[in-house]
Amino acid sequence: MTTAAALAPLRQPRVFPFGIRLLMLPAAFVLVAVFVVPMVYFLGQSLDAPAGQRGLSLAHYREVLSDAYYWQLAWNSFTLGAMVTVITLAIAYPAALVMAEARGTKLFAIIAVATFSPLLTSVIIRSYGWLYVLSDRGVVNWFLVTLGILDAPVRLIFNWTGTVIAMVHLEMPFMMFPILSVLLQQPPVLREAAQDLGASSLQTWLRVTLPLSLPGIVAGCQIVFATSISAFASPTILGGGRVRVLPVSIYGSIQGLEWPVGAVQAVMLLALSLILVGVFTRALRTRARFGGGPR
Amino acid sequence: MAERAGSAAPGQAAVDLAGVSRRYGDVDAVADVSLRIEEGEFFSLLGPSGCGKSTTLRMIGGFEVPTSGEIRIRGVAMNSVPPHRRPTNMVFQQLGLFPHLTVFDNVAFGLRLAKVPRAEITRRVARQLEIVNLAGFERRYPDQLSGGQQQRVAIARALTNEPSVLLLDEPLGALDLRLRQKMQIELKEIQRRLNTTFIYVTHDQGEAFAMSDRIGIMNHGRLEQVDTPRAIYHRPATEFVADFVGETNLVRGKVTRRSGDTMIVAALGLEVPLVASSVSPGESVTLSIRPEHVRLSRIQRGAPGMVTIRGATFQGSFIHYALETPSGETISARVIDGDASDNLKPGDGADIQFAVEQVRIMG
Repeated sequence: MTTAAALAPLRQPRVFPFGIRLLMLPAAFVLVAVFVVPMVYFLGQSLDAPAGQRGLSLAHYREVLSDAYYWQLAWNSFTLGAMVTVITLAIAYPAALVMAEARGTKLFAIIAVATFSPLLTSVIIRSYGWLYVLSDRGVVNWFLVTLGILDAPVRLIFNWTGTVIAMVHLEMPFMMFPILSVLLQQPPVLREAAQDLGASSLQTWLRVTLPLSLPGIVAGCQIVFATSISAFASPTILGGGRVRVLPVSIYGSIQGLEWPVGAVQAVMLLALSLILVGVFTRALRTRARFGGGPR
Repeated sequence: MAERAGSAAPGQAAVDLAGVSRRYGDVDAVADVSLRIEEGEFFSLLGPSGCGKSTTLRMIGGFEVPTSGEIRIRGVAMNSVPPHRRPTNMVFQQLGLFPHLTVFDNVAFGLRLAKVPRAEITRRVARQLEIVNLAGFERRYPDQLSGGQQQRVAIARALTNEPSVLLLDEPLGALDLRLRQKMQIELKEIQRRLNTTFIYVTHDQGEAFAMSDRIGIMNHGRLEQVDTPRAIYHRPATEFVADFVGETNLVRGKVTRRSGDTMIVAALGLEVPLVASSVSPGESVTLSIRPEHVRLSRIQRGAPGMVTIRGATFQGSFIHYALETPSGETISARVIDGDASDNLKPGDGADIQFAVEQVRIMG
């Protein structure tokens, strides 16, 4: 069985020779130097005593966490992350199904290029591009008004709508890739076996394809959620100040030289991210198995 | 499963293929196959890889659609019926066990879809697992089973739906020899007990011979011969069948004269007397001579024999000889270890005889 072969290396604890471990050194060095050290330094700021005092203190936490404004920011970040994740999933999953079906054909290549192209341009350029496309006189509004669907242009920028649209576009490959990879791993014989046993296309999807694609869905959601709650460029450029999320506020705090306040918000963001990643992982591990077994 | 499985009417074939073809581009994967498989029969499709046997099986299961011809199962035309509405179940070559489901849920899969009441599901799954000798494995996942156990889960899963016809696509291919032989016996036993029609695809003639009531030999998309294993072995209808089933020497020859009931055929630089009425002097023929039907007798060392030994291979219970005949052609002979001619060496001469009643004349 493919699964048995895939799982086997995880089950047996393997011992790596010292020489092999040495290969990890460059990666470990980079991680410590450019990630761990600045992170610890920055988070250390959140524990700084208020001006004029010495030592460590939780004063900044007290200040930020007792202020409903920052909780609103956290809620906004969560909402943005959840919206982007759900919409991206809803678009990416069916597209990934089509891609898996079309493996080896031109259609596969076309969808792949369309999905992964956002990665080729800078987020700033892409955001300004969306600004142009979604503006009152942009292509989208022109189209809707010309077709008579709308009487007047609808506001699509400098608000949540524009931000979410741009971010869904940006996050699409990060949702597509993990889902596509689990779908491509599913041997076609599984679906044939389900059909053979009497399952219609919908039943085959529900009972076989979907449960087996859950790991990809969970991985995609984790990546998309974690990256979209920490996104800065899209909410800033397309939100026009109306999309108040933690990263934008952190930037503001630091601009205003309030480093400790920025650091506390960063901790909030990190906590949000970790909680959601944990919830998803747990959901996958204890997921209800279809069927139910003998009773 | 009343809506899936029709019931057998007397005298009706379990499966009837009428002029079935399947084209891919301009290649005929299956060409004009007509075949009638009876209720309760263990039928094998045997042939080399790429001969169209799997495609034929997949057309019966509904995974491929015939380009032309008609497939009927218990008298009902099946061409436009999708796999999930056919009264067939398949044991796939790659098994296709659902890795996220336990053994119980794998076997219960079809019954749940058919909305069978829960108590009956439990009962039928238990019975099926007992048949394949896997009682007690209900809660295991497929990756916690050995190859042979997975195999038996796949068979149980396909059988719980009580199909009119069970299709098996080289299901034992991945197993080692010993396990394969054990499973062959078990499969035949299961088939006999359930009296279900089995259609079994394999490239392994030993497997087909061990289990089948009848065998259909396929080559290049065509059905070459359909008969019992014995008849196929002893009376191969075509050169391909003679060569593919067992080992044989295909020898070109010419009928030179008649002597009573006997035809004398000149072949290999020898004169072979054969009892045959279907040929007449002057005709060119191909003879099929199985190696075990070639008899050697040793002659005095150094004396010129009818044939010269070119190679000798010890193969356990028998010796395989390569013989050079007077015409310069090489044929094989197989001699039981212990026979008087079992220790001939390359370069030795020997006299040769054919068990003429076993020599086949192929057109």
